[in-house]
Formats: sequence, C-alpha cells, structure tokens
Amino acid sequence: MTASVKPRAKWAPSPAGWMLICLVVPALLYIWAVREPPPRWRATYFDHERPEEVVKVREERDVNSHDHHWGDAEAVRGISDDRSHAFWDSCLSLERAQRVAFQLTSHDPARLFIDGQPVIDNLGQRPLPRTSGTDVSLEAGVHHVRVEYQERIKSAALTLVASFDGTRPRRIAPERLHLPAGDLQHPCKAVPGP
Amino acid sequence: MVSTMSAIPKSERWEVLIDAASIALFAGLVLTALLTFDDYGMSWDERAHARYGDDIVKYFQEGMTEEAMPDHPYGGGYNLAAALFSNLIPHHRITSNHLLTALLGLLGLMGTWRLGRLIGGAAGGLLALLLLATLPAYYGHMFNNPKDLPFAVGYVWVLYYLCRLIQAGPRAPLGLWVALGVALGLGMSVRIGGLLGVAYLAMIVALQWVCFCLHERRVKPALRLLGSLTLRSVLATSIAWALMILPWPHAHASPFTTPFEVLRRFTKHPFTAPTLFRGEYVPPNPPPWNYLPDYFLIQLPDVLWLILAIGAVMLAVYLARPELRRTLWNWRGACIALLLFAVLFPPTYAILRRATIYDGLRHFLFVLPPLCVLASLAALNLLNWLSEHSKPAAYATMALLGLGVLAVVVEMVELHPYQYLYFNRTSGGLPAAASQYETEYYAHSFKELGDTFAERLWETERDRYLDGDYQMSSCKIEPFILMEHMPANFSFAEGKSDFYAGYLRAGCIYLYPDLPLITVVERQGVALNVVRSWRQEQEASGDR
Repeated sequence: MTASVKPRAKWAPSPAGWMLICLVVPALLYIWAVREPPPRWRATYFDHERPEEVVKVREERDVNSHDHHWGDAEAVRGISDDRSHAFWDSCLSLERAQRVAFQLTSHDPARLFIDGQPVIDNLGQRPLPRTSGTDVSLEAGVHHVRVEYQERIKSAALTLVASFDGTRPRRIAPERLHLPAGDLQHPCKAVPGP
Repeated sequence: MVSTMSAIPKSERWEVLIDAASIALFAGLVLTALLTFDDYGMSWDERAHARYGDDIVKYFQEGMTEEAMPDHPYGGGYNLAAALFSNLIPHHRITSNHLLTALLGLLGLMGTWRLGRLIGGAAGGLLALLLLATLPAYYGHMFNNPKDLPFAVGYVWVLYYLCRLIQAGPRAPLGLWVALGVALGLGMSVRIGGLLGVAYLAMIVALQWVCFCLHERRVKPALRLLGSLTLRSVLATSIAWALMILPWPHAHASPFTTPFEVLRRFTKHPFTAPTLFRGEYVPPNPPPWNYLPDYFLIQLPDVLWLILAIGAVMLAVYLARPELRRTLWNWRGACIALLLFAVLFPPTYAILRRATIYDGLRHFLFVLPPLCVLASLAALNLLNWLSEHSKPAAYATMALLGLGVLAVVVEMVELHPYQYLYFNRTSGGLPAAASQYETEYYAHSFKELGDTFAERLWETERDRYLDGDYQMSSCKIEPFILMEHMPANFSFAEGKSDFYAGYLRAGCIYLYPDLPLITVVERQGVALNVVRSWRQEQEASGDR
C-alpha cells in the first residue's frame, strides 16, 4: 500500500521554478550590485569654429568612457568630430596626503591640471596615441582635476588613469570622485571634504 | 518537514532529493559563472558581434532606414539582446556580453536538465545537467562564444518542447505550441540553421497524424486533426518567423527569401584560412571527412564516450530483442529517437554536404546538450539494470562514473579559463594535441597575457611605464584582438617593435625563438601565448 503524497502547496515553486529562481535572483542581485554610479565628471564642449563658445555642458561618468574613444566618429552627437575642444572637471577626494601617479594617453594633445596647475602636457602626436605620466604629491582634502583635450583631425582617443596605492595605474574609481558643485572657476569649492 | 517527507513513498522521496541535488548543483554553477565570467578574454568574433548589436539598435532608433542598415547580413537576435543588456551594467561592452552569454549558457544547462528530467525522471535530469556542466567543450564556450553557444541554447529548448509535444500527443495544449514557437524563433534569430527545428516539428506532426489515422481509421476525425495540427504548426512557425525577422534588419525587406538565401550561403561559408588537423594544415572548405568525427572523439571526455558506448550497446540489444523493442514503442522511445536524430543528422549532413568547417567542433556545440541527455539516459539504464542484478556492482559503477566526472572537473579547473582547450586523456590531453589540432583558436589568452605583461613592466620599469609608450606587434591577428587587453599606453605596430606577442594558433608562438622570453601564459605545461622582447636587438642596432 503506498502512502499518499502530500501535494505541493499552490504557492510553492516547482523544481523548474526553483531552478529559474536560482538563475534569475543572483543575476538580478549582481546587476543591482554593480549598477552604474552617478556621473562624477562635468564635460564642457566648445565650438570648433568659435573656440570661446561653449556648445554643450553635460555630466559624464568617465573621462575614459566609450564616448571618448571616438575613433573617426564625432565626439558627441551634434558636435564636430574634427578640430573640437573639450574639458572635463571632477573633484578628487583624498583622506590623507599622498603621492599619486597620473598617466594621460591621448591621440592629439591633452593636458592634465590638478588644482589649476598643469601636471601633464601630452602632445599626443599622430599617427599613434602618446602617453605621459608623473607623480604628484597631494594633501588630504578635495582637489580639482581637469583634463583638457584638443581634437585635431581623424582619430581621437583619451584615457586618464591613476595609481593611489603603488599598483599599476588604472581608471580612477568613481568612489574617489565627486561631481563639481561650484562655478567654472572654482568647481570643487562646494564639494564636502573626505 | 519530517512528517511531510515520511508521507512520501520512498521512490518519490528519492525524486524530491534528486531534484534538490539538481537545484543545488545548478545554484553552484550560477555562482561560479557570476564569480568567474570576467576571467574570460575576448574571442575573435565578439567585437564584430558587439558592433552589429549596436548597429541594430541604431537602425531602429533611426527609423529602420536603408542608410542605417547594418553591414552584417545574418540574424541578430543575440546581438540585439547583448546591446540592450549592456545598458543594464556599467561594465565594458565585451565584459557585459560575457555575462549575458554565461546567463544564456546556464539557461541551456537548465533546458538540458528539463529535457533529461522529462524523459528520464529526476535522476535523468540530474545526470544530464552534470554531464553537460562538466563538458569542457560546452562550459569553455559558455562565456565568450556569441554565436554557437546561444544557438545551442535555443536548440535544446526546441528539443525540449518538441518532446513535450510528443508526450502530450496530437491534442497538445495551445500554450505548448506557443512556447515551442518562441524557442524556435529565439534559436533561428541567432542562426538560420534553427530552421532544422521547424523540419523536426513537421516530421513529428506528420508522424502523429499518420499514427492517429492508423489507429482510428476514420476519415472525418483524421481530417479534423489534420486541420488542427496544421493550424497549430502554422501558429508556432509564424511566432518563430516573427521573432527571427524582428532583430534581423537585412531580412526586413524580404522576410521570406533572405533567410533561405542565407541558409544556402551558410553551408559554404567563405572561410579559407587553413585549419590544423592531425599535425597538418588542411583547407576548411571542405576539410577531410574525418575532421569533425576526430574532434568529437578527442574533445569529449572519456567518461562520456564510455557511457555513450554502453548506451549504444544497450540500444542495440533493445532493438534486437522483440520483447524489449516493444518497450520503446511509447512517447519516451519517440523522444529518444528524436534526440538521436537531432545529434547525428546535422554533423552527418555537414560532412556529406562537404560544408565549411574549422575551429574544431565549435560550430556543432548545439548537438552537445541532447548528446548529454542521451548519455544520462544510457547511464541511468545501466545503473538500473545493474541494481536489479547486483547492488554492489551498481554502486561500484556509480562510483567509477563519479570519479570519471571528477577527473574532468579537475582538468577544467587546471585549464580555467580555457576549458575549451580540453582534450581527453585517451588522446593524450592538451600537451599531445597542441601541435596536432586547433587549440587556442579564439585568442582569448591575450587577456591574461596583457594583464600579466603590463604588471611585470610596471614592477620592473615603473618610470618608463608611467611616462612612455610601448609598441607591440603580433602574428595573424587583427590589431584589436591584442589592443583590447592592453593598457592605453600600448599601440599596435607592424613588424619590429618593442615587443612581440604570439599565440598558439597558426604557429605564431614559435616565431622569433631567439628573442628573450618575457611573459608566458601556459596551461598543463603548454604555452598558449608569449611575449618576446625586441628591445635588445633594437638597442644593439641603435633603432630607438
């Protein structure tokens, strides 16, 4: 005589349902955990014919994002790909005084400024992107970082990496950066310290 | 909990426990995939597929105009999905593709489990899942193969729903037909070869109707059933066709002719680069007839072959003895016949048709999930038969098979993340195959090479690394393959440069043996990729 099988409760998933849960829940948790942080850079684009005229200011996630590995395409939709000029501002927060290694690679000229002082001047001569880097001693607190870029013709590329702990320079983690909160002259004035 | 379990008869309790084991195994696989998907490098095809996905999105955004038509003429189901998925996570585009492909691969494992469970019960499902998860050829492609892997996933789900259709008989519920249509469409949207599923459907429907006619022998019900089956088949095929055409811009203008044109071109793919086979380079169009059988023979684990061989003997015995043969005349027997056909027909047709084949068995990954289901059924039958005659023999066999699977897992860990380089022990493994067969054809060891090499330079010449550029050359690869994995201060150069990177394919690794070796990526004692330095030679000649 076989004993009766207690039926599965209506709300209980079937084995296939459990398996689907095993797939979907961790995947969604992962996607949530790595979700995109808010933008930390303010990009300013200038008109290529009237270099003093700002044509677009927008918040961006990274100087190194795909938007700026332009190849032969336009930098930003609606802005000419050749002979354009742009800069990116962000505020770097340091908990202690330290030496930071910055490295800038660009195709066509680019410069890096920390607190208004030029620290890297990369000529970025064609036909290949060029790289320049240096160590900078910084005090604890908030520092204004600006990357200036001058696109001439055809290929365009721009990459900024940094090392804070002696390891190989990598993209600056968004957690270290803050979106500028002040005016164009003092973009990090209103950013709270670390 | 205890009282619930004790109310369930022993066999059903086993089923519940085995299902729980399957779910636990699958959960482990999901976690492993999520933790390791970033270890896999970009494969040859991925950049083009990522661009195609972006182009499809742009095509829709720009109102499906002729000007925005992508160059790629093939179906773009996976590509469009990958482009949309990449908006969900901030990872690099190729990395987000790897995550999506891994999730699809897991969906394929789930489909294989369901197919095995449908035919062989909970144990059949568990065994099928275990065999496919420990099949290096499948697992190794589960992260960076943007075409063959998604197609294999579609194929196994089509087979699952076809078997459900066989199980349900001619009066299958409408929902099943819709699900079949969706599975067919998703498979066909990746590769037009998914039309095979429509052919299988037509065969099954025709056989169901013939069986009904032979059984009923009445005209009116037979005609009514014919109408119903035709309508439902048309519904499933229409859903599939719509899903196939939607992400395929080239087919929008002529949705009924383009797929067949592409299908015709598909078997004669214009790939001409010689492919390594038994120590010699042979043309891929067509390769020798035994190219594909050889790769299957040496790239499937020994334990899988052992199970399949036993399964073949058991099937022969069943077919030879009438009293056993009769036990196959049911829906399960029909499903096994379908799976046998689905495994054997495509490679046989490709060999007879003298189709273009290269990169080992990767174009035929789709036969691996149903092959594992067949193997699971064979193993299950063997264990059942043994347990009826001798319990110790059954346990001993189970332990032996377990050890065989474990040995494969150990090798997969050793090879990580290059599981697709697995060659079975009978063939001598990767060390024996490296000079005889195609191995690192997907070039994804450049990721590990780039990371290791850049770290080394940073450690040994920090100032030069920080404030300077390097030039690297390579052999028989597109520059983007190398540059994808190098830091921004590296550029690709033709001819002599600072460094040379060469991978195993096409013998590139053996070039310039006199140059100093800087970095090596190796597995199981086989070098897969190397960096050599040209600097001493340049300094001696005063080039730089």
